[in-house]
Amino acid sequence: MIEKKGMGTWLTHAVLILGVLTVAFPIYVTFVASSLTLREVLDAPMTLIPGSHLVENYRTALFSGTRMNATPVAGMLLNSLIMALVIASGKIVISLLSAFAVVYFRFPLRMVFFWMIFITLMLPVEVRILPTFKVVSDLEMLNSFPGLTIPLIASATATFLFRQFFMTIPDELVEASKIDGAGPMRFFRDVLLPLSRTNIAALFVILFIYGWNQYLWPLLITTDHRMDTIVIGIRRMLAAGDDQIEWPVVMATTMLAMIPPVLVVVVMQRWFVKGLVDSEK
Amino acid sequence: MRVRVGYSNKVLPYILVAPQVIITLVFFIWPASQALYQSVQRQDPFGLRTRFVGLDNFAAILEDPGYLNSLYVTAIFSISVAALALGLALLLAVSADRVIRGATAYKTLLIWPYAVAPAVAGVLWMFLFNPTIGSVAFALKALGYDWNHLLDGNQAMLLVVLAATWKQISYNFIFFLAGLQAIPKSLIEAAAIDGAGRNRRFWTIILPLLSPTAFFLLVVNVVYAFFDTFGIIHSVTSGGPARATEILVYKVYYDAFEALDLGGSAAQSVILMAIVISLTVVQFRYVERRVHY
Amino acid sequence: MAEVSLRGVKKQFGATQVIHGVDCEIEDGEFVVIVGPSGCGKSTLLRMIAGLEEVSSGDIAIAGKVVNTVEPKDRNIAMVFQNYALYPHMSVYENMAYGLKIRGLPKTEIRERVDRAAGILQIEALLERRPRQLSGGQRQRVAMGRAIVRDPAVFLFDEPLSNLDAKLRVQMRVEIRKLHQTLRTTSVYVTHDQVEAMTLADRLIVMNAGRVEQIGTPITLYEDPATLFVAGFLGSPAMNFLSGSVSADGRSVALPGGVTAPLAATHGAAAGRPVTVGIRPEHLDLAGDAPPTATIKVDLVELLGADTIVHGRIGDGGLLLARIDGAVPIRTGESLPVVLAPNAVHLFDPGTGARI
Repeated sequence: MIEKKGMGTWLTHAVLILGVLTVAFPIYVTFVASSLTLREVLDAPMTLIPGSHLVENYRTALFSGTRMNATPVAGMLLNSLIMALVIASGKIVISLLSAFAVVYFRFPLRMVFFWMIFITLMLPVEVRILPTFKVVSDLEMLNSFPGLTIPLIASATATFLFRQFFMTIPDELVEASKIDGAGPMRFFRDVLLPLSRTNIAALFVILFIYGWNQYLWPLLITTDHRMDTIVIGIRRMLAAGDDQIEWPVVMATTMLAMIPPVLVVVVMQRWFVKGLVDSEK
Repeated sequence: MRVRVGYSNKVLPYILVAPQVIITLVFFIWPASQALYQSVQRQDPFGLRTRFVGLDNFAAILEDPGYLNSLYVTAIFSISVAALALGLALLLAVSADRVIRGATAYKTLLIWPYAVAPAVAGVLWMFLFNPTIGSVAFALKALGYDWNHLLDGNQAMLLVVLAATWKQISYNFIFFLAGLQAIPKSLIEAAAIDGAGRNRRFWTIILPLLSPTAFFLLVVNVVYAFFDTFGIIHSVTSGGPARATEILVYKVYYDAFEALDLGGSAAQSVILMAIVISLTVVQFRYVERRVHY
Repeated sequence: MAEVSLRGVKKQFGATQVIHGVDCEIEDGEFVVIVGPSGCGKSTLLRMIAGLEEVSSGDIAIAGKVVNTVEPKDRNIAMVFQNYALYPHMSVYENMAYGLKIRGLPKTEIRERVDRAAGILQIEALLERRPRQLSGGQRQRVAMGRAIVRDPAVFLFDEPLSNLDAKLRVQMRVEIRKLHQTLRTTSVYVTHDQVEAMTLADRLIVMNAGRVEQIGTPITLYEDPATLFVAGFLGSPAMNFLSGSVSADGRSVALPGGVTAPLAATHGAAAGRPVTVGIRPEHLDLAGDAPPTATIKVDLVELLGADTIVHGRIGDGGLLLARIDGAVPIRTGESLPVVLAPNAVHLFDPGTGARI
């Protein structure tokens, strides 16, 4: 490579290190705050050296919650996990099935369905907010996991991604399986599914994060504290009013809210980048 | 769309698409058509009767200073977030593409904010800038700058822009880096042999080749700033102070669930719908063009 | 083991007719090659036999039973695809066993059959590998192995060698032929390569633009092509075509440059008519001491070692190729006297392309 070395190099590294530090700084401060006592946090300027109350704060958060909110974060984590898993796997399953139908079958309403799925791209929750809430309420799905997850499970992006992928599978593979005696579902199970593994993994990372980070939807659908996801839970803890906020516990909860999705991204980085780039094609 | 070698079952395809189609109909198409319908209706004060009012709801919100303010706020917010997030991400991506040692480590350290929920990102920055206990707010005060985003609308705007940008940089960074790595090395080398120095190569070769990625990201960033930042606004400022950060998405939520203005909220939904549709069309027309290159 | 009958088989895609009626009886154990240029409908015909395309009209029968509406899996056929169509996520063993597994054969029998087929094809060592770890030739063998394990009534081959390099293609061609001699399974083989067709086939079906031009053994087609198309398609280098006219007595034909070539038989009916004259390059020979039929003006010489290809002209319009055995020292610009045997001259109707 040309001119990779030389006097620009240290500047390049400096830019990157500054970028990394800026990106990391808010998290670091949060982490420090989650290891201090409330008094230490309120004692401005707050120290930037981690304190000794880490375990205590996390234990309080996980098993009792803040005094005002009194909802243990462990339950919220479980709710978030259920929501993220159901949304991610639900989207993948129904998208795989509909992409399979659209690519491998000829049937009269094929294009109608295709466009119907496409249109969902243009209808985020925000643009149909009240009527969608009303539908969920009429179906008596408020404050329930089905209400929290099912309406988010339709996915044009995932359907298009799988459709795109199925189109790259050579026709001869279908024909060979026909001659081998496999029917459509057998072909789906024995050939398409195993071949889609990397795409499924990539999409799973993206969709897990999507599900975990939902905010507006659970805000609308759940009022019962037992249904709180962790992201909503933080908001409730902060609603206590400035003098009442137990910052160390809130910050511990914030850390707990970030750890699972960040871990998924860092551990599955390869699939994450693939999923991100592919699903935008 | 090409129909390929396939199967000719009569019932099976309908069973396969059923879950997706049912959810789409019940939770997408039906509510969206309800929003359209309600946007031309008005309820009497007792909620007993509704009547057709044509475009009155639209006229009403377009005359409403609150709505016009929200449009203005949204424009400032979106432009700031898109410009900052794109510019900083490009700077970082170009740097990461240049270094030989540690490129992967930098990448890993820069991409993870993608995983942080917008609402949580808001909380992180709110804590830093908390007027009484925030580290940054304290530092600013020490420098003689009085920070209180709970009172100062411009400061509140700056705070939500920072939080939204912080979260979006990693996404843009990934795409810019992928775009940079897709530029054939031979092109850069040819330019170097032609005598173009590093800066010149960047402006005349790299940037033009990166422009499709940049344009794509611009659309994505605008969509992000419009729709995905609800969590930031709701958790950090709740649209305040004095509606200084009340973006359209926040207003539609507030009017529907706090102010209970059915027709107005529906009309706002329809306007938002028009915005998403035009952004989607722009994006897809552009994607099509990219395919033809 | 089975015979395959095609009776008035037609195919159309929408309004376009791609196959205009094919009739052919393929005998039990026969190796039939369908050959023709790309787009002639040969692959479509094969896919109709396989059941991958529907028959628009006419009948296809396998072992005496009409199979028009029978699913591919129930036709008792096996097919080898051009790009092999191996399941990329399955091992070689699993690829070969898949069809048997679906048919519910017991594990031990599957193992036995796969091992036997692997033995025949000498791929025992590859059974645990994935397709992407194999070379082109090895994938080809696996694709054939997948066909063999099924022990089908008919093998169908869809240009199976066209993704291989030239050397491997020749080698696999020989192996396919040997395999057929061992198994004696009725085989239908599609290719656009006339050399492959000539060397493999018991009988050839030459197709052009959706129609059968001629059916017969390779030698029949080579020696007695029924049409201009068949004459030009088979043989390498291709047959020379010159315009000429039959003499008044019907016993010779006038060629460009004032050349007259004698005919083996009297063509009284064609006397005085313009015709297209076909002469194979290998049927032109050096005149030596004999009186020459024609003198070729040499434009270009290709020395191939085993033979010498001469590009030349007779008269103004008469471009001609001659293939002469051995490496003969011929120079560009030379006038080369050649002889032509009367029975090596083919006459065709210039309008219909039919043999006269």
